[in-house]
This record gives sequence, C-alpha cells and structure tokens, in this order.
Amino acid sequence: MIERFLYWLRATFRPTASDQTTLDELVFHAEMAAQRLIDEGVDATEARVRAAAMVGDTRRVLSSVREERGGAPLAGIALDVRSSWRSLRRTPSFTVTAILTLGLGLGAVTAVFTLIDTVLLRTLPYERPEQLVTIWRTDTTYQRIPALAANWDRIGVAYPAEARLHSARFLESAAIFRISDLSLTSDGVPATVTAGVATPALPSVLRIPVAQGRWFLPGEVGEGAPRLVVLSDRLWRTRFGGDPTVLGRAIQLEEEPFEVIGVLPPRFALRGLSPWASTTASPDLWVPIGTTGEFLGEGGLNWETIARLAPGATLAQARDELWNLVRDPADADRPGGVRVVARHDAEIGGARRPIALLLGAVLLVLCIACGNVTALLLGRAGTRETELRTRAALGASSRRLILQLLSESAILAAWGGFVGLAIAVLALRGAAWLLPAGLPSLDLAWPSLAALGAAFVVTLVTVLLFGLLPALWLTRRAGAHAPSGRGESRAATRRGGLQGVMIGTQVAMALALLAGASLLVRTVLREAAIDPGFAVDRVAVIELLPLPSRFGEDLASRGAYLDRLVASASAVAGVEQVALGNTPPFADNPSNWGIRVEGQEKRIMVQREAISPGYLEVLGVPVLAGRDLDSSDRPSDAQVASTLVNESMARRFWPDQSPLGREIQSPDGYTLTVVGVVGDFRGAALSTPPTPTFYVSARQVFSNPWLVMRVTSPAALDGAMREVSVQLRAADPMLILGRVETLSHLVVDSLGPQRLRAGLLIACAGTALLLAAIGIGGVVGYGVRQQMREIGVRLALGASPRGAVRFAQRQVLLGVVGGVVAGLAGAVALSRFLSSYLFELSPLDPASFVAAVLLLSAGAWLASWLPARRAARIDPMQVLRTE
Amino acid sequence: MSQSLLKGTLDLLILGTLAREPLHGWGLAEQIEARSAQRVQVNPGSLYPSLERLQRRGWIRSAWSTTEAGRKARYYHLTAAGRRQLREAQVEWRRSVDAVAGVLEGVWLIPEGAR
Repeated sequence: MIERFLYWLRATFRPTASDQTTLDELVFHAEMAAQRLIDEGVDATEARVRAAAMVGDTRRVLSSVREERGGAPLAGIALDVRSSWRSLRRTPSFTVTAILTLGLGLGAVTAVFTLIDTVLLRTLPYERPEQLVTIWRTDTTYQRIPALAANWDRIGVAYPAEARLHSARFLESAAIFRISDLSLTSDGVPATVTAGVATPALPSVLRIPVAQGRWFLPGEVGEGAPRLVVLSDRLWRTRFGGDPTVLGRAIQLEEEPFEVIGVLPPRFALRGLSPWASTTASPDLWVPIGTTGEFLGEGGLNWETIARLAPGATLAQARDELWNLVRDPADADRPGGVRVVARHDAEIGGARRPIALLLGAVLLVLCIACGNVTALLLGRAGTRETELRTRAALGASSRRLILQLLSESAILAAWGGFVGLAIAVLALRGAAWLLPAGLPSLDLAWPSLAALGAAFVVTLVTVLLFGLLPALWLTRRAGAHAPSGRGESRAATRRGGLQGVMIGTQVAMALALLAGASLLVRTVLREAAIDPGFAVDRVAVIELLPLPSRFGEDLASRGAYLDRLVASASAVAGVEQVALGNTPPFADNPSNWGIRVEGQEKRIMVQREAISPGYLEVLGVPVLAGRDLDSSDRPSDAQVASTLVNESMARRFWPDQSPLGREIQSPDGYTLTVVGVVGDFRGAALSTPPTPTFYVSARQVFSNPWLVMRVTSPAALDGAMREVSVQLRAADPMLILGRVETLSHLVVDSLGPQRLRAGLLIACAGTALLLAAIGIGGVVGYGVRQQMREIGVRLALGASPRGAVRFAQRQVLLGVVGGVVAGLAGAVALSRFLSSYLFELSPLDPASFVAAVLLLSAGAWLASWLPARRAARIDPMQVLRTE
Repeated sequence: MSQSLLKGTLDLLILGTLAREPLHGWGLAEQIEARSAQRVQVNPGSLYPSLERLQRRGWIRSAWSTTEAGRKARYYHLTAAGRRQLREAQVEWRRSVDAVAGVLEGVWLIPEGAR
C-alpha cells in the first residue's frame, strides 16, 4: 500500500526524474550486453552496435515505460480536453446547437434562481426582522361585495386602537401609519410628494433612529398635533441638496407651514402594504397623525400597523390577544377577526406563487435542454464507435475512454454556462421591467452570488447526467468484442428505444407548457373582450390636485373654482364635453359607504361616486330610467338630495319594483331620493363584476376631483389632452396635475399582469417546443444516415420518394405519440395550479388543450419532415453500390 | 516462446526470479534466459515496462546500488505484497497448465525426444 502511494507520488511530481532513471537503466543494460558480447569474443565496436540494437529505439521503450507509469494525471486531462475541443470543432452544427440548447436552459434557471434569491429569500433590512409583524382586520361581510371581496382580510385599524395596542402583552412595540400624496411647496415650485402619516413609536418598532434631529414625541400626535415633518434621506438629498442646516426650516405641505425636525437615514424605507391606499411607495417625508385632516374616529379603518413581537411571543398568541384591542369597544357584536402576519410574508407573499410557477416552468425547460443534448450526444456517439473501439484495442482503459467523453460534455457544459450567464443577465433586465409593481426593490442587474453558485451546481449535475449516459453506453460497446450483425441491430434498437423515451419526455413537457400557455392566452383574450360598460376610445381623465388656498374651504368657493377649470377645459378645440368625478373607472380606488335603504335596519356597504352633471354622458353610460343629475341638484340645507343608482343596485335592493322615488339614508346624514337608474360599468378590473353604486352630485363633497373629457374623434385625443393641461394651468398656475391618461390606456394597463403571465408562459412553452423540435430533428437526421441502405433498397424496389420521407419520419412517431399522451395527462394534472389565474375558464378547457396538441403535432411533424427530406434524395444505385 | 504467451507471464517470471535474490534489469534478463534454457528471450522493450508496471502495483521495489564490478545499477526487490501476488500467480499458472494438459490428454502428436 505504502509502496503504491510512494510510487504514485514519484510518478506525479517527478516524472522527468523517473524518465532519467529509466534512461540510465537502459544505458546500463546496453553496456552489460556489450560486455558479455566482448567476453564471448566479439569485437568491441561491433559488440556495442549489437548491444544498442538489442535495446532498440530508446524512445519507444521510454514511451512504453511512461505508459505503464500512467503519465502525469494532470497532463493527461489537458490532453483529453484539447482533443475533445478539436473533435467538437470539427462538427460545428452539433456543437453550436448543443451549446445554445444548454445555454437556454441554464440561463433561464440562473435567472429564476436570482429572482428567488432576491425576492423571496432576501431579508428585510431591519434588526431582528423576524419579529416584525403586520396586523390586519378581517371582515367576512366584505366578501359579498365584488369590489371589496379580494381584500376582506386586509382591512386596516382605526386610530384609537393604537393607544390600546401599547398595552398588548405580546407586542414589544407598535405603530400605525398611512401613506398618501401631499403637495409640497418650498422654494415656490409645487410638487406632489409621498407622505407617511405616523405615530411616535415607528422608529423604535423598526429600531432605526433618525440620522439628524428627532422624531415626533408621544404628545405630538392626534387632535391639534403640531405641524412637524421628518424628511427621508432621498428627499433631503434631492430636494434640499443635502443641506446640513435644514433642521428648523419651514416647508409648505398642502400650503400649511411644517417645521423640519429631523432627517432619516437611508435604510429607513417602509413600504405601504394596504390594498386600499392609492400609493404604496416608501414615503419621502413623515408627519404626525392629526396634521393632515385624517379622520381619527373608530370608523376610519385607514391605518396600517407595523409591530414588533415581544421576545418569545408567537403570531398565534398575538392574534388571540389583539382582537379585543383592535376593534371598536362600542361595536362589540360586529363580526370580524384579526390576522397577525409576519412582515416578510406580508411583503412578498403575493410573489411566491408566480415565482414558484416560473421555477417549475424553467426547470422543465432545463430538463428538455439536457435531454436534447443527451440525445444529440447519443446520436453523435454512434459515429464515433469505430474510433473508440480502436482506442480500446490500442490499450485505453474504459476509465480513460469515459474520461475522454466526459471531457467533451464538460466543455459543452462550460460553454453552455457562459452563454447561459449572458442569457440570464438579459432575462433579468427584461424581468425587472415585467414584474408586477409593489415587490421589494430589486437590484436585478446581475445574478447574485448565491444564484451563480446554484447554477454552477446545476451545470455540474447536468454534465454528469447527460455526459455519463452516452459515455457508459458507448464504452461498454467499444470494449466488447466485434459485434455480430445481430448484436449490432439489438444495440441499435436499445439506443433507438432510449432516444424514443427521451423524445417522448421532451414532447410531454413541451405539451404541458403549451397547454398552460394557451389557457392563459384564452383568459387574456376573454377578459379583454369584456365590454367595460363605458365608451373607451374617446375619453381621457386628468387628476386635479389643487392647493387648499386656491381650492377654498366652503362649497361656494370650491364650486366656483371647479366651474372655472371646467370652462377652460371645455373651450379647447376638439373637446366635446367635460365633467368631474371623484373616482373615474380604472383610475382610482372607489369609496365605499354603508347606507341604509328605507324600511331596512341593516347598513349595507355599497360604492359611492360623487359626480358633476354630464359625467355619465362623457363616459357614455346610458340612463335606463328616470333622469340624469343636473345642475338643479344642488345640496340644500335640509340635507336632502337626489341620487342615481346603477342597475346592480336597483336589482339588489328593489328587485320587483322601480327604484325611482325610493329613499336611501347616507351615513353623512343626507336622505337621498333616487331619481334615475343608469347602466352598470366596470370600475377597477374587467374581470370584476360591477358593484352596486349610487351617484350623488359632487357639489357637496369633492375632495380629490378628476376631470373627465370626451373628444369628438379618437385622433384628436392626445392633442386635446395636452391642450387641456395647458389651459388648466393657465386658469390656475399653482394647480398640480396628477395622472393624465386615456381611458383605453387605463383599461389596457389593467390587463398587464395577465398579459405578463401569459407572455412568460408563452416564452417558456416556445422554448420547450423549439428544443423538442431540435431533438426530433436530430434523431430523424441521424436515423436517415444510419438507414441509408434500407431506404435505398426501398427506393430501388419502387417506393416513392414521399414514402421514403414518411419512412424516415416514422422513427420518431412512437416517441411523439407517447409524449403527447403523457403530456396531456401531465397537463391535466398540473393545470389546476393555474386555476387562480384563469377567468371564466375551466382548467380543463378542451379548446386550449386541443390547440396545444395541434400546435405541438404540427411542430413535431415539421421538425421530423425537414431532415427526412434527405431520404427522398438518396440515390439507390449509389447506396447499393457501396456495399 | 510465443510473444502473446510471454506478455502475460513475464510478470510471473520476474516475480519468481526476484524471489530468489534482488537483481538489476540486466541480471533479470540473464537469469530468465539462463533458467529457461534460452527459450525465453527477454528484450528490454518488454522488460522495463513490465518492471514499471510491477512497481506501480507495489509488488516490487527499486533502489540504486553498486554491482560487484563497482558500477551503479538499479536493483529490484520483491515486496511482501509481491510475494503474495507471486504465490497467487503460481497457483493460477499451475491451474492453467493442468487445464490445458487435461484437454490434450492422450493427444500427443509430438514425436518423442523433441522436448
């Protein structure tokens, strides 16, 4: 044992010394031989000559000895790699195809690994982030209202609850906050900033202290709170130029002076998670609760919470304790509950499912890619059989042969890895643009280190997998004795069977992906075909953000202000009609009020819109009964007003009678009389059915007016939008315009996530189909070469060229058919994972499956037909001659 | 002796010869030739690779020493593992010879005297 080790040491690390030793030995041998000849009486010179001849060519002896020694192992590997690289370069089409195939698969996997790493695994940048939780209220009554149903379990808390949270045993600290937009005027230029409104405990919950100055003190929130503001690092640097003397300065928010008392460090970035807020970006500045006119009573469920669990507390314990603290003590029998969710889960929970689906899809693609390359290698291995058999006969051990073949696979995998890296970077750039908004900020420019490591492991495994199989199979064949004819065809059938299985697997996976893609495509098409209920092509919306000093406080001045704006907008050429509303469809979150219908006790949540006369006309919504609101419907002191209801509301509350003349009690004290019924239209998403809605005259309550306008022709829309913006600013130079969009753009945007999902799955399915086609083409092409003789015979015996082509195509028939069957089964089993993304479509929708099967069959047929055409061109005479 | 038979048995011959005494390459060749009554001609082209192979397997060990004539030569010794291998190979050789003899029993076409 020790001897062998010592020998190995010497052979590996001192090969030249070993060579020298052998040479010395040979010299000695020759001298002794010469000496014996001299002793026998031969002449000295001749003796030396004969002795040298006996030793023979020293170089040959030396190389034999070297071969026994095994050579320096490292040099051997280098030799293998070089010769493999040469042989790969001699077949460029194979090499390029294999590298590209691998690159596609590996690149996709690397990109998704990076996504997983940065989105799902990244920890929040706070201290002990696992202790941070979000508290939501739940209310099952919301599930009955379509527009609210999706978020029935993510309702905020009321302001008075915050004080009660401080007495919670299982919470160490808690804060509530809300994110909205405010106007900022300092140095004169008005702009909209994202503002966070919060309680004093927020920095201690996050355990991030302010960088400069201070945060609000416990007494500085609530009714009559002082006007203080803390700037974010980003706003301080961009708007205030990083001015070190900013503390104590006064800035104008909503035209009120606020004093800057602090600046936050860069890592204080808190996103909003409330689905009810209009914005969720990390705020530019923070002000205390009570300074922005928020409703501070029990009914205002606007506040998000972020809290830190006490050490050792569990989510369940917190949840049990919190329900009594968070709900209104005066409303004891209101149904509902509370959810305590880890902050990390709350932030990324929505992304888990799509990323998991994506991972599944790309792993399928990678499997197909590896299967392809294995099939290509197997096909190529057939042509190298004689070469390898010669090598085996010359003494190469099977271990060396396997190493040689593996080095080929390793080269392919290495190059595939490089190409894959490039593809991954490109894919990540694309993904950053495609991913749904609201995910944590992703610096996805480069694949992360962890993802690279994972990809490296995957590459290694794929090399071993797809390289080992052909290598083992081949060396076993090469090492065997010369095969008889029977052995040849048996082996060929075995190889053909293996290839058939691989093709079948690839086809199955491609079919599964295609079926999923066609399901999603049909969903998008269905949803896009829904009639939204309003006229889409000639309408634009403009968000108006007037400063309070301009807007005024009372109804009269607000009314006059808005009239001026509407007049200046109407004067623009091409504008047919202008009106105002507070939540145009697809533009903003609707407001929901609990009203009481006359004669009933319970309050029902319905949607409420404040509109000006002509709003419904601008949108093209028909009046089905009664009349529209007009300028005579002003609010009066008697707290009565007119209202319109939509079809859904009429059906819901007055199914058997006309709603005209009926009365509704609004929570703000007004008694509303129904004067008209209008058509339903979609409010936020095409897939959400219309909600019961009532419309009141905007004169009463406009807080965030939107201007809606209709133009005479669709072509005039863009120009009119620009001109109207100019005119509005001319009417009030201090007016801030928010979003300016066409309705059609908003509707199309709302389909964004579905289109994205469909697009991604189409990309995966297309790649899978392409790879499967390459595999099929390779097998058929190789089959044609192998069976040239048989095809020639058939042609000579009178078969038509088309028949020859079909014969060649039949190679893959079994594999493809088997693959289709397996793929259908797989698609049926897996499609239920997509069911949450489908709209009015069963996961087993037959049309989608049929489409997928047809597409796949066509692709497979084409892929087999192209190389099979060569069969028709075979000259039977030439083939038979070369027997 | 035919070359193909020699290739397989040269290792055995070397091990057996070294079992008596350590020898250098030339000495080995001389000994084998002498004991086989000149029937086995060991040429260096097969001897030294064999010696290398036996070293690699750990059955023999080499060391430089001086001959009686005062020259430097590389001597080969049998190792304990080599001794074991020699024993096994001898048994195997015996079995092969007996097997062949068993098949050829009674089939003696060589005229007497041509040993």
